[in-house]
Formats: sequence, structure tokens, C-alpha cells
Amino acid sequence: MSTISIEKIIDLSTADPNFKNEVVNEPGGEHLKKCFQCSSCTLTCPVTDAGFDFNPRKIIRQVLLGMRKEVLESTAIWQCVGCYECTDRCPQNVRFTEIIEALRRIAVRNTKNKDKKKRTKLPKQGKHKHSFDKRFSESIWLWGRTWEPEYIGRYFMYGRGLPFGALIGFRYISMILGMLKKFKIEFFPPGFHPWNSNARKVRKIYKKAKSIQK
Amino acid sequence: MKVGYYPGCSLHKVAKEYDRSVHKVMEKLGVELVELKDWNCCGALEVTAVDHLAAEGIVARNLALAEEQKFEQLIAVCPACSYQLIATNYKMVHDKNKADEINSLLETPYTPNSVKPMHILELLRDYVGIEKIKEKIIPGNPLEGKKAVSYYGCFCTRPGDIIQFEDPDNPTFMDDLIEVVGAEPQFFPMKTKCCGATQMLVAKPVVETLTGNILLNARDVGAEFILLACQMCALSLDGQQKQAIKRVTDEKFEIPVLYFSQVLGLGMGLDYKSLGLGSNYVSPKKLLKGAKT
Repeated sequence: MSTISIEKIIDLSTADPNFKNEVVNEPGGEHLKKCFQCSSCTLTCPVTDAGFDFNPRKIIRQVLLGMRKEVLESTAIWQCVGCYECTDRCPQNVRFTEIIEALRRIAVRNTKNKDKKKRTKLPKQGKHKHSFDKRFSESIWLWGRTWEPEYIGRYFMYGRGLPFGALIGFRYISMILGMLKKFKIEFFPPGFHPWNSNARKVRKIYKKAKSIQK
Repeated sequence: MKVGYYPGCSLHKVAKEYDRSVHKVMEKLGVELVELKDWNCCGALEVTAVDHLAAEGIVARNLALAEEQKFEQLIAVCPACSYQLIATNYKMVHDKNKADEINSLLETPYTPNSVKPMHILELLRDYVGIEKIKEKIIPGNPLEGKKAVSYYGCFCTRPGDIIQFEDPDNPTFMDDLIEVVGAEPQFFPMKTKCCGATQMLVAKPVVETLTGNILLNARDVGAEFILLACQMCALSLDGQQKQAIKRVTDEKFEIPVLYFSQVLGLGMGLDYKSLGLGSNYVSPKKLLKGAKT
């Protein structure tokens, strides 16, 4: 068992007290301030259980204290698998899974912030996860449905970085071969019929949503 | 009984055996599944992370289509899809401003609560009923007397306040299904623990550790096969089984992973080919052979 020790003294003079309000303003983060640090989320989290560097309680505390850079640039916020167990267990209905989504969106948005002090850099895993999410939604934009080989291929090529990113695919070679063997890979775009209008409609929704949020 | 069927992207190819077996079983139970015309992807958890509003918009479009095509219930087989459909409907019912905002994105607006979206397990429990399933089961099926565990994963029951299906800590309906077929359900502590499939292509070690722990636990309680209702769980528990076990332990073992519909189909005496049992990664041949002799 590890002993409890104060790892690092937190310097609050550089903290941003408005950070918590920024998170509360983001859809999904509304219930953040209700957290009373009971740690139920951390105890029930499967990722924490498996021994990875992820602590929901700590992330909420950091947000409340205004440790902007530490939170947004940490790998931790990208570790969440989105299983909603913490949301379910929380006595205060803080809805941590949605807070994580909000934090991810803020982190991505701030990579292009003009204010240099507020600009954030995504960690490696963050870049990968964000790239995956983006390819996924682009695939829906293109076909109206996701087409796995297309978006996963693009994810490996661009998301993992050209030119060697695609080599990461070899890590998944057993999975890919298994799917090929069972004829589970779709070689043609799904639902690609002239009478389907889903792709066009989805593009319209994407466009409108973007213009509303601006 | 006629219900709307929302297959979701993975059901047509990645989990074709799930799709096929669900159709066969529902046909036997007298439920007609009519595929929603012109449906689009629900966005899963990925689109929400990129664009919050667009994600709700594309889900609401499916609901509006179901309303237009006059379905009372909309069934999704993929729990992630069913969660998105239920959650968007829930949000639109409880928050009028949100509903107006989402409807402004759509061409044909959706009236909240005009369609009841749900997961297929809920349909089986509340609209078909366990009694009717029992009638169709033929005694002497190959699964009789086998020990099994049910694995729910995340979105079948969670978040409990939105899904409102079963107790999120200890759901029991799939255990009932195991019992109906004649197999013995075992108590399974990791029934609702996540397998991490959403991070499959991003953080492989996380997924393999989570999945490996679940498989190890299933073996420890003596499961001969695992019953589940999610194609993403199947992809990690079934498709990645070897690697996952390798990551958490040195021992070697194999547990066949079956969809609940395949198990019901076996109980109803449907032939193996129509249930797509050949498409499961870990072959269930051994499991089914042992009982026959």
C-alpha cells in the first residue's frame, strides 16, 4: 500500500478562477459545482480500477480550483471510456461523463485560441482521440452512415501522423484479419442508393448547427 | 405487432450475425421488424465530442423519421444507438428550449415523446413477455444445463435516470433469458463493468486490460459461455479475446461469446447457419457439440 503524501504544493496564483464558469457554460458541464468530493466516481471507475492514471475526483477538484492548463493539457481527460458508471453512482448528479466531454471540447477549441496564455496543446492521446472523433463525424457527413474501413483507414493515416502512422494499423492486424476471415468488412459505402437522402440531410444539420453555435 | 427497427451502422456488416439472429428470433415471436427508411448514423459518443448540437440533430432526425413513418416504438439493437435515441428524446421532453433548438435544425420537426425509442431487450421484457418466449423454447436444446453469465456492458442500463430500464447495478433480465433456455445463470460481479470498446483504436492497452479482467472474472465464476446484447462488447470480448487474456494473465482459456438472440434461437431450435454462429470469432462449436452427445 502506498502512503499518503503531499506530492506537490499547488500554486494558485497562476490559477484561473473563471475556468469553472467556462466549464459550467459548456453544455454538459452544468452540474459541476454540486460536487462534494465524495470520490464515488473514482471508486467505481473501471479505468482507475485497471490501474491507469485517471482520477475523476481529482479532475473535478482541479477544475474547481481553476487549474486550467493542468487539466486541459493532461492525458487524463482523454482516458475516459465513457461508460457512465460515475454518472450513475454520483449522489449529487454531477454527470461526470458529460463534464469530460465538455472538457475535451474546450481543450480542442483552445488549441486555436488567439490569446497565447489560454492556448493549450493537446497531449498525444488527446490528439489521437480527437482525430478519431473527427474522422467518425466526417464519415457521417460523407455517407450519412459510418463506413468503417474508410474512416478507420483515414484515422490511421492522418490521425496517427503521416507517413508512419498507418503502420500503427499493424497492431490491429489480428483484428483486421479476423474480420476479413468472417467477411465482416464492408467494401462499399453503406446505404449508397439514389433514393437515400440521409447524407444530404445530415450535411444540412451539420451546417446549421455550426452556424447556430457561431 | 409491428415495430420500427433502427439497425445502426455496425449491424449490417460488422455484426451481421446479431442482425440475422434478431430477425429470425423476432419472426418466431411474432414481432415484425420494419427497418426505418432512410436512417442515418446516431453519432455514438464520437460526434458529441466534436459538435454537441449536430450530434443531437442527427439523432432527432431519426426520431422525426420514425414519427413520419408512424411507428409507435423504435427498436435499436445497438445499445449505443438506443442510448442516443432515448437520451435525445428525454432531453427534448424535459427541456422545451432544447427541443426548439434541435427542431430548428430539422426539416420536419419532431414532437417529443411521439415515438418510444428503446433497446430490444426492453421490447422483449415489456411487450413480448418472458412467458411467450418460454412457450417457443423446445426442450432438449444444446445449451441445457450449461453454466452461463450475462454481460450487459454500459448502455443497456446506464445512465439509469435516462434509460429507466433495469437496476443499473444488478440487471437481471438477461439472466431470466438464460434460465428460459435451460442454462444456469451464474452470479457475475462484472456484469455491468465497461469493456472500453469506445477507445479500441486509441488506447489499446486500456481496452485489453478492462476486457481481460471481465473475461477472467467470467472464467472464475465458472461460465461456459457469455451472453451479451452489444456488438461493440462482442468486438472486444469476442474478437480481441486472445490478446485481452494475454495481457492480464499467463493462463490460456477460451469462452464462447454469444448474442442473446443467438441463444434464444438455439433454444427455439433454429439451425446454426441462420443464426450466424459461424461468424462468432471464438467458435461455439465445442460448447454445442458437448451437449448433443
